[in-house]
Amino acid sequence: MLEIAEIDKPFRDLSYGLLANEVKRFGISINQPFAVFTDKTRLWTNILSKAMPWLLKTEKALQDFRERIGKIKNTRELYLNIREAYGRTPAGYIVDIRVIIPDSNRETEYQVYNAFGELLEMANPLLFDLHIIKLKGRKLEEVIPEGFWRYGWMSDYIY
Amino acid sequence: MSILDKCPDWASVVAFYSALHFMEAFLKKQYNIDFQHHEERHTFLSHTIPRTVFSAYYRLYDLGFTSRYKSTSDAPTSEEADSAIHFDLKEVENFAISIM
Repeated sequence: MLEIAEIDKPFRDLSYGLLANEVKRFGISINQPFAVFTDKTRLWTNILSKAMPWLLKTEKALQDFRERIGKIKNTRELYLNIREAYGRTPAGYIVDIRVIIPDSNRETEYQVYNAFGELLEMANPLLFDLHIIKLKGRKLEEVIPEGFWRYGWMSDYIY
Repeated sequence: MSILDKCPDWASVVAFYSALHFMEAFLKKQYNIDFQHHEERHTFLSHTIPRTVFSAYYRLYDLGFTSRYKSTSDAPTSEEADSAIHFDLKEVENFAISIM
């Protein structure tokens, strides 16, 4: 049985963490103007500062998508994963999305794909890949692929 | 017994690749553009074709993916394959032909 990692609001936490780090670095640069940054520090700062706008855009797009999915009857959960896609997108990653529904239902599926179309249009040029998983009587733990995490709750998530 | 009852998974795969050819023809004719990857194609299609056609095409993509890469418990049923061919593929086909 797969163990499902539950990480709440991963992008938001990451974004806030990165922002806090930026502020801290700014403070250091004022107080210690001659502080020595290693090559590694520069490299990571460079990577993170480039990634920041994309992470924020990803998070906003996913929040909107989750809200739309939450309004669709019969949608159960939303799971996410990230894979590297160097050179294919300015962000350097693709977000994999899995939406869980109880069983095959063309109308529900169309609503999910509609919402996904909106997400793609809004978040262009970020890349996403969506697949619907039908429970067909199985438990969530049996159908969620390894490495995916739950992105909030559909109905009773507490912020 | 029909092919849909016998091999709904493979019928779904064939339905998806038929739809892919229609979309490729549309993209070539209208925009003279080719895509190597599904994700880029989907992003482009999301703002260039009607949403209903996008959803029909994406359902075929999803069923095809499930047929090829997921377990047999996830495989499309004969009803799903039937609706993929008679509704989703028809939607994509009608759109592409109307443009070309």
